[in-house]
Amino acid sequence: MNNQQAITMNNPVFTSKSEQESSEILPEVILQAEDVSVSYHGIPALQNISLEIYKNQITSFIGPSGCGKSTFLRCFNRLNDLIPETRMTGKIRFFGQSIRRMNPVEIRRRIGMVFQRPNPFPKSIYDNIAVGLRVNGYRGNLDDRVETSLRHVGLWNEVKNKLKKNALDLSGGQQQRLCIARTIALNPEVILMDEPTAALDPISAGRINDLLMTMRQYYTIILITHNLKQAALVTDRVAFFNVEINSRGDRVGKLIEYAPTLDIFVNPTQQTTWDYVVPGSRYSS
Amino acid sequence: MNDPRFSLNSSPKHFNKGLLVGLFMRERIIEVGLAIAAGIPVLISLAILGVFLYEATFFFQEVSPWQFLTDTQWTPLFASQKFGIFVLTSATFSIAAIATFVAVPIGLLAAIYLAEYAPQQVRRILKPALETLSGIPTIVYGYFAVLLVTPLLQQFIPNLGGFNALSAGLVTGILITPIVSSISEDAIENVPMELREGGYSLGFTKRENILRVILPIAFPGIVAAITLATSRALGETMIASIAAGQNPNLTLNPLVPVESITAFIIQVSLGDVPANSFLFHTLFTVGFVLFLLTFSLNWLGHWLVRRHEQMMKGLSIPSIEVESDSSRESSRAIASLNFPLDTHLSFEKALTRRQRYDRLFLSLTLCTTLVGAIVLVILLTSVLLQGIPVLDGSFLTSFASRNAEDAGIYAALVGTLWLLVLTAAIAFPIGVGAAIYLEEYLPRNTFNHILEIHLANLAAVPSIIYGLLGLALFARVLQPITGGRSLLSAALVLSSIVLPLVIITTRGALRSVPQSQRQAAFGVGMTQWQAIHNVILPSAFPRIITGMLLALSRAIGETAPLIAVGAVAYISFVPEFSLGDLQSNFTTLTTQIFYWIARPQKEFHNLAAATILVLGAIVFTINIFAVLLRDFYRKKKGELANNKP
Repeated sequence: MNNQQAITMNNPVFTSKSEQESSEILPEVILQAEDVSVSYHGIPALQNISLEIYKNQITSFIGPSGCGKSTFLRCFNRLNDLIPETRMTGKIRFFGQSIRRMNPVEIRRRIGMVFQRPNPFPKSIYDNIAVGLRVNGYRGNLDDRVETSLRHVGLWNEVKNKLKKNALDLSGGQQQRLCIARTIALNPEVILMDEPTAALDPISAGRINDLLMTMRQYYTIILITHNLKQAALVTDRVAFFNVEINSRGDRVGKLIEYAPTLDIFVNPTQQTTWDYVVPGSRYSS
Repeated sequence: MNDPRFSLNSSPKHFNKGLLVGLFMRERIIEVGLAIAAGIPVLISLAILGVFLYEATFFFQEVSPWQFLTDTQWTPLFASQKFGIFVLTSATFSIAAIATFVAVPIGLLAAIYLAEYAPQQVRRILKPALETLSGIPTIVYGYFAVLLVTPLLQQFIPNLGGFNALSAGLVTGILITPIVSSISEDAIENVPMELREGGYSLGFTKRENILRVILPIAFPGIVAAITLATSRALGETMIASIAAGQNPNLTLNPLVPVESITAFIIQVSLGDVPANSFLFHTLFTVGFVLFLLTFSLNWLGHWLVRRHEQMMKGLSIPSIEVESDSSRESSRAIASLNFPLDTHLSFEKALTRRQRYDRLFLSLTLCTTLVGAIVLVILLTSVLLQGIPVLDGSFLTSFASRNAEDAGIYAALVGTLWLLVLTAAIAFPIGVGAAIYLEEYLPRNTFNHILEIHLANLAAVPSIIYGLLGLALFARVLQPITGGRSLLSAALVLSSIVLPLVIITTRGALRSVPQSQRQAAFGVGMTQWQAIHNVILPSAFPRIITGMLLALSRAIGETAPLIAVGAVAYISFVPEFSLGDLQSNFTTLTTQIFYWIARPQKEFHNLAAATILVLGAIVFTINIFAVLLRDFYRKKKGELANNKP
């Protein structure tokens, strides 16, 4: 019996999930995007996206490369602010409050992010987690917090004897779990994940998937993935993005369909979604 | 095969086999020629080592190394000779220490501002302004130190001597600030974007991200910047010899006159030192000490820069995971944990204070960057105010004179232009040839890498060392050809100085030609040289030209090596293009400035200011030309890139 099965079977919420969705009693909305458009150097990258992110669910963004998923994801923690010449219009509400009115630094602490390529700081394993806590003025016991975070990503046993070693000595998968640990140590209300397993080998990716399965009921996660299996396996809702070419010839990202995972994969309402999620479908007819 | 659509004649008779044999001969000859060019910088290094060791042997036959290291006096010009090298090194080090003390904070904060904060438009103005500071001829800084900074300091420190280490150190600090800032800026910009985003996504403010993430990662690069800047300060000659004085004092007191190693070399060079005299040996021994000091620092610095660049490249390339018992175990352990983590976290609500620090930090970095620009403006205005009244047509067309009203810079101007032409004619072919050989022919092995670092070091060797080399080699050994302390010797010295620069920039230009273009050239059956000649050089050409112009503007600002090789204060004729004239005495704008600053009368200081303006105009023209060429090239390249679908 492998880990995944063990985890899902120990997980009471997992079995009741489909009932919940069918009755459509939706959980609390944490993030709400209203008519969001982003342009880069005046050229539109994505347009008129509106969707809601629900508490303690994993929502995944799927779609072909260049459809603006990452750009959209980075709107939620205002990371696009750091890129010159990038402009966002529309509104994103975090617990009902417009994030434009909030302090970006505070938003980024409350909405954590994990990137495609593991990006641990070239510091010790311990400091990778501690630095965020220190900067944000954490008042508790640092050692305890570091240990708990590492335990929660399943890294503690592997690194407990080398906490002072440089994090770059870890394998890619371990680095990525360290990055997740670094993020959850700050107790974020939402975690953004931009293809967290894309740069990893299948074994490491599998372990991150295991971790996501465990986290799904306790964290609000937005997950970008190109891996449809991963989307089907770990997520509650799926948003499908596609590229459309506008009248001026720009490639603009659009939200095509947003629905519970099962609906997207089994019963999509849009033809383009169907073409994307069912391999070979576009050649069959 | 008879399809008329494929009627391109493929018969081999269209390609001349005899041509091929000739082609290979030509290839070999060209390759050997390029290899010889590449050998010249190596020869120069060997010559430096050889000449200095040779002279030092004579010196140490008379003075024991123990005396050299322990004596507390330096009096080689007196009857009772004492040779305590620490007298000179103490001055050299205290000037360099003051300079570093000025340059490191300013340079580092400016680097942070330019790399992290500055909006594009601001950066486009401030960065060149700051970098212009290191392009100003050092003789101009000497002028600045002795005629502007020292009088200013004397208002605050009453017992400050007219010559002192403090003012020399402060001004040298301004000179080396751009070195600290531009290398540190590169180091900061090399920090991968992913790591910055990692910091921001944990809720760091910009300042926190800079201090906690970016600077620690860029640290080795910053150390390298400081090392290279310090080395430049140690070898700085004109500022030290003009502003710090020529009084060998074993002291670390920055307020009294001292004599640095470089100042001693200039002091001795100004008189006519007979070859093989003991003073001559002393000169080279002292020079050798300076060479060793700066050379070892440069090696350290360049090694650090490379190591840091490699480290940055190696960052965040994930390695494969190995399943182990402990990993499986910790994975199983997750399932039994209580998610999520303890949510009753106490984060200090001090965001307003953190952001106030951020704004303070930003203003600090901005203000320090502006210091550079302000210094530039002060320098320019003071020189303009003094120089403009003297600057007129007769100033440009008269020879130097004892009488300030009649004096002009005709001989100096022509001398400088002559040197530029000769230096270009000698250094450019050799430099480009050497660069082609090193970049396109020599395999990329350890030897090549060592050579690359070595060239960077040669470029950073204090120019006075080249001056001494020229004195021994070009002016004495090659006297039958060069005519001794002549225009030709000076051109050879300047060529040796700029040669490493030309090679480095040309290599950079060649390296910027994409590998795919080389493959395309070889793919259509070109030989190595044909590929270089038809594809690579044309594509690299604009950048090569830019590098050459920058090297020329460096050559034009040199003073110390020309004094060492024997530039004279007064010349009453203009050399023409004949061997006899090239073998004649010479003077240049920079040496003319030096001799005029050394005069006590204020009228001559004004003449110096006017000469600085003329020199500045030439350097400025060259630089503008270089920048325009680069921009033109970038634009062209940018258009090409945009045309791609």
